[in-house]
Amino acid sequence: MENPVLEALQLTFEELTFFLPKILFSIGILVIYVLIALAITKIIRKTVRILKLDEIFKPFLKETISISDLIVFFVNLGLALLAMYTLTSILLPEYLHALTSIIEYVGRIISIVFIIFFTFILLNSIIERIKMETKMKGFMLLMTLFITLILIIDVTAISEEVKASLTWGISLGLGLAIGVFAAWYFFREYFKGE
Amino acid sequence: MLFRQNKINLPKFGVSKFTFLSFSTEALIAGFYVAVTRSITPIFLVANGYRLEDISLINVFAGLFSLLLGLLLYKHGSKAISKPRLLITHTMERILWFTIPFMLDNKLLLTLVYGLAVASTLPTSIYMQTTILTSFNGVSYRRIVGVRSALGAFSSILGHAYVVSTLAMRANGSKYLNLYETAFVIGMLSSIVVALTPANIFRNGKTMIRNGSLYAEAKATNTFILLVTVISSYMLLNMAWTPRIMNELEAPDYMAASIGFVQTVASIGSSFFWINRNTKTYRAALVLLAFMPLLVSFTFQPELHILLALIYGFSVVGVNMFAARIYSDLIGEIGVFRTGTLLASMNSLALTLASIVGFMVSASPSMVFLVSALLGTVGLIIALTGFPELAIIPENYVQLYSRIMYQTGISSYNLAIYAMSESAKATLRIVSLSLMLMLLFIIYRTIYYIMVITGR
Repeated sequence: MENPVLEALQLTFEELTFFLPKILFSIGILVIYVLIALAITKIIRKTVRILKLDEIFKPFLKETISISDLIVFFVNLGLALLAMYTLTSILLPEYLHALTSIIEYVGRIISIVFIIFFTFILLNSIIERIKMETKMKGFMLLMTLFITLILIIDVTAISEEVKASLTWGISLGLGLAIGVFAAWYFFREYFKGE
Repeated sequence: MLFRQNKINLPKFGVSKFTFLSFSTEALIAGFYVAVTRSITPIFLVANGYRLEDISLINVFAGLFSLLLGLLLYKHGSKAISKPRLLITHTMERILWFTIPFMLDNKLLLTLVYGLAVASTLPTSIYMQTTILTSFNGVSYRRIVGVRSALGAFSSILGHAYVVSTLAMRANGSKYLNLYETAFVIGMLSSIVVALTPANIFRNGKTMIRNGSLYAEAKATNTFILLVTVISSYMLLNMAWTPRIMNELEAPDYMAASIGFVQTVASIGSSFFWINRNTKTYRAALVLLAFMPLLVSFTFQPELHILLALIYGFSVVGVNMFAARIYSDLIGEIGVFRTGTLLASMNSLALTLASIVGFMVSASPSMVFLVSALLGTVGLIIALTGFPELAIIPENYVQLYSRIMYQTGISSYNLAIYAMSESAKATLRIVSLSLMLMLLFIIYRTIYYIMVITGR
C-alpha cells in the first residue's frame, strides 16, 4: 500500500490541475468585469457631470440622494451579480441553483431592512410634521414594530405552519388594536361624558 | 464717408492674373456640377415616388444640418482660411452629392447623406467667399464677382441643357446615375483648379472679424432678414414648382428641368442688366418676386410656366445683385469672415425656413404658393420701409423702422440661439439618462433571466 499522505497529495494536485485552468479563466473574467465596471462608472460620471443630470432631479430629491450615485451603485451591483453568476457557471456549475436561492434570500433580507428603514423614516417625518401626543406616538411605533415583525418572520427558517399562524395572529392583533384605537380616538368625548 | 475710409484701409494683397484666372475657371467648371446636381436631385426624388412633404422634410433636416454647421463654424471654427481647409471642404461636398443616388432605398440614409451634402456646401461657400473677399478688394472684387457669376451661369446653362437633353432623350432609369457621375467628374475638376490656386493668397489679415458701427450692423442684419424672407419665398416656390408641373399639370420631366434651365438663362443676361442699375430699380425685382408664386399657381398651361421662370430668374438675380452691392460696401465695417458667413448662411436659413413651411403646408399645394407669396410680400414690405435706397416713405421713418427691425432681429436671434441650445441640452440629457436606464435594464433583465433559468 502506498503512503496515504502521498496519495492524498496526489489527489489534491490532480484536482488542482483540473481546476487551475478554470481558476485562471475566472480571474481573467473577473478582471474584464472590473474593467467594464470601471469604464462604465467613469463614462456615467463624466456624462452626468458634463450634462449636469443631477440638476434635473434636484427639485425633487433636494440634497439627499444624487441620481448619478444611485445609477452608478445599481450598475456596479448588477455587474457584481453578473460576475458572480459567470464565475459560478465556470467553476461550480452545479451550485448555480444554490446561488440563485442565496441571492433571492439576501434580496429578501435587504428588502425587509429597506422597508424597516423606510417605515421608520416615514414615521419620524410624520411625527415631526404633525404634533402628536406621546400616547399616539407610542401607538404608531407599536404598529410599525408589529408590521416589521411580520416581515422578519417571513424570512426566518421556521416552518411554514408556524409562520402562517404567527402572521395570522399578529395581523388579527393589529386589526383589533387599530379598531380599539379608532373607537377611542373618535368617541372619547362621548365615553367621558357618559 | 465712414465706408470709404474703411475701404481704403483694407489691406491690399498682390493678386496675380493667375489667381484671377483660377477663381474664374473654378466658377466656370463648378457651375456645371452645381447646376446638374441641384436640379437633378428634386426631379430624381419625385420620379422615384417621393412626395412634396418628403422632399420638404429632407430639406428641413438638410437646412438644420447646415445651420448648425454654420453656427459652429462661426462660433468655434478657426477664422483662418487655409488652402487645405478649402480644398477638403470643396472635395467633400462633391463626394457627398455623388453618393445621393446610391441611398435611394433607405429614406433615413438618404436624408442623412442629402443633409450632409447640403450642409457641406456651407463651409465651402464660407471659405470660398472669404478667400475671394480677402484676395480681392474694391473694384477687383466686383470684377471677380461679375466674371464668376457670368461664367458660372454660362456653365450652369450647359449643365441644365445637359440635364434636359439627357432626361428627354433617354428613357431608362440609369440616366439619373449617369448625370450624377458626369457631375462628379466635372466637380472634381473644379477641386483640382482650387488645388492649383497659389497658396500665398490664403493670408489672413486683421480684418477677418470686425464689429462695425450700429448703422453698419443694422444694415447687415436687415439685409440678412430681407434676403432670408425673399430667398425662402423663392426656394419654396421652386420646391413646389416641380411637383406642380410634373404631377398636377402632368408635364414631362424635361419640362420640369426646363424651369431651372430657363431661370439660369435669364440670369446671364440679367446680371449685366442689374449690375449698373440705379438702386431704386431693384424694387421691380422685389415686386416681381412677391407676385410670382400666385402667377405660377394660377397658370395652367405648362408652356407658360417657362415664360414665368424666365421672368423669375431675372428678378432673383436683381435681388442677389442688390445684396452683393450692400455687403461689398459693408466688408470694411463688419469684416471679411462675417460678410462671407452672412452671405453663405443666408441660403441655408432660407432653405430651412422654406422646408419647414413647405412641410407644414404640404397637404395643400395652393397653400405653398400662398405662403411663398406671403414671404415675398413681407420681403417687399421690409425693403420698401427699412432700406433708404428702396424706401417709398420719408427718410426718418426708414431709419426708425430699420432700427426696430434690427433690434427685433437681434432679439429673435438670441431667443432662437437660447431655445436651440436649451432644447439640444435637454434632448442630450434625456437621451443619456435613457441610455443609462437602458443599461440598468439590460443588466437586471439578464440577471432575472439567469435566476429564472438556474432556479428551475
